[in-house]
Amino acid sequence: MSRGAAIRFELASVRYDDTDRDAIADVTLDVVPGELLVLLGPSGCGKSTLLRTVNRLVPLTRGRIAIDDTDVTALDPVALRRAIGYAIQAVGLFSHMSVAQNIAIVPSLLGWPRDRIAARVDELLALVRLEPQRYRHRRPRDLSGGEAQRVGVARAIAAQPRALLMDEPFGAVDAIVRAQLQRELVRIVRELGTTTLFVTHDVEEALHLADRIVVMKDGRLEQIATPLQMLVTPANAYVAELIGAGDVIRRLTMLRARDAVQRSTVAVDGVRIDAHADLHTVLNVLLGGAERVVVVEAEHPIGTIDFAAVRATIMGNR
Amino acid sequence: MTYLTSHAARVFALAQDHALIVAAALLVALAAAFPLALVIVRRPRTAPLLLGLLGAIYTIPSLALLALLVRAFGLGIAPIFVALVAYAQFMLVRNIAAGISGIDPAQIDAAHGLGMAARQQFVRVELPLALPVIVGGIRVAAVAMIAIATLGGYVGGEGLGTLIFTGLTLHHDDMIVAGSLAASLLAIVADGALRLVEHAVRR
Repeated sequence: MSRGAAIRFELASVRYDDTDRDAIADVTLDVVPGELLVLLGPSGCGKSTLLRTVNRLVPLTRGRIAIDDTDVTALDPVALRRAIGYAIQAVGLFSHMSVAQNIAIVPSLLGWPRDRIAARVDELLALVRLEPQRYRHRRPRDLSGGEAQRVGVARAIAAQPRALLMDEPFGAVDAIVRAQLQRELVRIVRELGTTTLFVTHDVEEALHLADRIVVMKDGRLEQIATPLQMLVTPANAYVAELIGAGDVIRRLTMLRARDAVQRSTVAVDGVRIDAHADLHTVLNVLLGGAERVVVVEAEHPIGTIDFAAVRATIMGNR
Repeated sequence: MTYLTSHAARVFALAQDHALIVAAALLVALAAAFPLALVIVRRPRTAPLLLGLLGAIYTIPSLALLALLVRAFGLGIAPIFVALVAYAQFMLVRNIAAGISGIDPAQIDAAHGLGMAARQQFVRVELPLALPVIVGGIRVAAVAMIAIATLGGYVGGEGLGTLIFTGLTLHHDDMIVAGSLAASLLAIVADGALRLVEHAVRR
């Protein structure tokens, strides 16, 4: 099992040739090992550029980037890229190769033995929920958009990278498939502990996936925070408007029953709800007519939630 | 047709020489065309100049070019060989460059981002994906070269042109017909064979 890498940006700046403005400007950011960090912002804000500086597809003009305290410019760029997973919106599966050959690319570049590669390919297909026997020998043109993106994810993590870069990987698939892929991505990177940088312009996607969100504008970081912190206390009007901080309904799915519970040891009757359920579920029950719900953790009641508690929590007053 | 039947072995031998000259010239032409095409792909700004130059060579009437080359290289195989290589450049460079430039940019980005070195990217991704277009260029070039190679007979080169030009000198129409027919047949066979290759590499 691969543990995630720590990625540190120190005053990282990029200026493309023929432009008079930095594409990213003085970005300082610590990506914690194993976290799923979402870079969010409108097109042209520099989020893709920032992503591509990590594996040196885009060179820094100023500043530095370190992976586990090693400056990336001290590493051979080709070796660096093989050590970091890479998945993009257009997927870019090699159309003259089978699904198995596509997934095997990085392991084969790294010179893994044949049987180890074959075993790894099957393991990965199963991980992204594609049946190995059915999909191994397919051509990319015979895959649906969702299937192609699953193969793209499998290819990106094939050589057990400790960091994964994803540039709007689910931007081209429909909403249902996207939700499915998001759930599975979270499951996979949690399971592997891979540090993941994920670029998107889709606010819902960011709120849903992120451990922390980085909001960018004109090449600069506007705010770094957890989805909930950002919804409750956006750093400025730009962030508030971008993520829809005024929309308190949005916060319901971010918050757990545990966050709103009024702890008490007095036994009360009522609908029981797990401490990890979201406030959306709690509110459903309350709107159904219950005066309060009983929150249970590990089968033991720990307290109750009523309307006032839900309200106080989503307004950030608790 | 009488010459073709009475001298079948000689016509066949000349056709073999003809094919050999074209094949050898094609190999040399390809060796020159690949680096030129890569220059165009990596630095698109050079495309108008390079393709313009090669296009200009392509438009020189073959007889005129041959006359110049005979002054430089003397009679024999050399002038026609050089002419064939020079004419093929335009068709080959254009198709190789178009084949590589036409590749889905996402596949190039993926190759780069996953950690292929430049050479691996060329051999494993760019070349196989561009191959159908490249083979198409080779096919068109080969057919044109088979026709142009008959002019070799005029300047002392080997090949089916010998029959045509000897026939002209001797007013021996049958020889002319035999040479022309054999050259046409050769072109048709080359075209068909390379079409099959083109189809096979289009995966």
